[in-house]
Amino acid sequence: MLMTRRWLGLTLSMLALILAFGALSWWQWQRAQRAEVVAPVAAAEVLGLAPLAPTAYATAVELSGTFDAAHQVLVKHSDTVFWVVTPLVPANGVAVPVARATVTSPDDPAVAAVTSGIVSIVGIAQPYEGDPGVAVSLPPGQVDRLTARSLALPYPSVGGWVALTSQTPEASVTATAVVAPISGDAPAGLRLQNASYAVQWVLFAAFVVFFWWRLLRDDLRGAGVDRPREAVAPVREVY
Amino acid sequence: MAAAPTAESVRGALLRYRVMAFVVGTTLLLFCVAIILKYVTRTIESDSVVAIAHGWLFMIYVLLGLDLGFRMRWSWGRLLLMTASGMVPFLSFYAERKVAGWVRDELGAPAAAAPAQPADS
Repeated sequence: MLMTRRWLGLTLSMLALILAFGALSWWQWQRAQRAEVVAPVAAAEVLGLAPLAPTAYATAVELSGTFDAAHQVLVKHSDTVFWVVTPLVPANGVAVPVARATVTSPDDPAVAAVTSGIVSIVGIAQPYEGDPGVAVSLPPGQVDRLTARSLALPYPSVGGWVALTSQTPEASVTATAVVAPISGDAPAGLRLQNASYAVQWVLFAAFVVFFWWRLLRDDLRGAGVDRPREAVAPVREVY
Repeated sequence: MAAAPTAESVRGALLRYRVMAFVVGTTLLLFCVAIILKYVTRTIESDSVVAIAHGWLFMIYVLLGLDLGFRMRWSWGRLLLMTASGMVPFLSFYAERKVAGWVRDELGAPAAAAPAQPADS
């Protein structure tokens, strides 16, 4: 009985449906894990002359300007962790310090690889680090923390800085990005809606198997065995 | 789903199916409203709650539809139609009445007068 053309067709359909539902479930599972994409806002909306407002911490921002390589500093966090911070001066002249890269030594090629000309960047707005006011003697061009004072810019700058995520055109030297100390609301969690759909597709696949098994069982028993009593009159060919 | 379901058990299954068809139909309409509020008027930020609720309720609806269909020994084409009708706004309300009509036609008449059934597959 299993060898009939009908059963071959039903079994192949079942397998095709299971594969399709499995693929849909996998697709939803991938979607459930994707990171939240937050469109960046213009930097001027959150970064002004005043210190960055706590509500604007970790905001994704974008702006265009030219890097001022002459006033670049290395923020030394340890003997092997230096942030490369370069002021980006937009058209309005108020500079935005941009942490372009993190390097393990001041001699890293990324330090000198400042893109010239107009550069468009996207990054994460960050507040300045605390300033204990204690002087630390470091080689010229190096500071011990990222504050407005340590940058010592001869022109106005905003009350915060930006951890670079991407820039156009790209830098000539690929470097490790600075991980923003303050990150946005963790998008790491599972998206409930898509996770829920992923589970449901698996269950639908289980329904298909169950359905197939029911048809098989009915076929083996012979049609009409468990028809409702009231309607037994003619045994009809179902399915 | 015992060996020989009685008319009573079929009626129970039909009642469960009808209640769920109404619930799913209503939730689907709510879902449509939520989608419009989210993507067109942008008055709400997320429609996840309605989406998740509809997803699971639809699941139960399909189960109950299959249960009823198995008891009635309906063709798989008809079961597919029942299931699909739960995905179209407003259609589930119509489908639910149609299905109730099918059950009545096949089961409702007194046993003695059961008419010959035309094959529907």
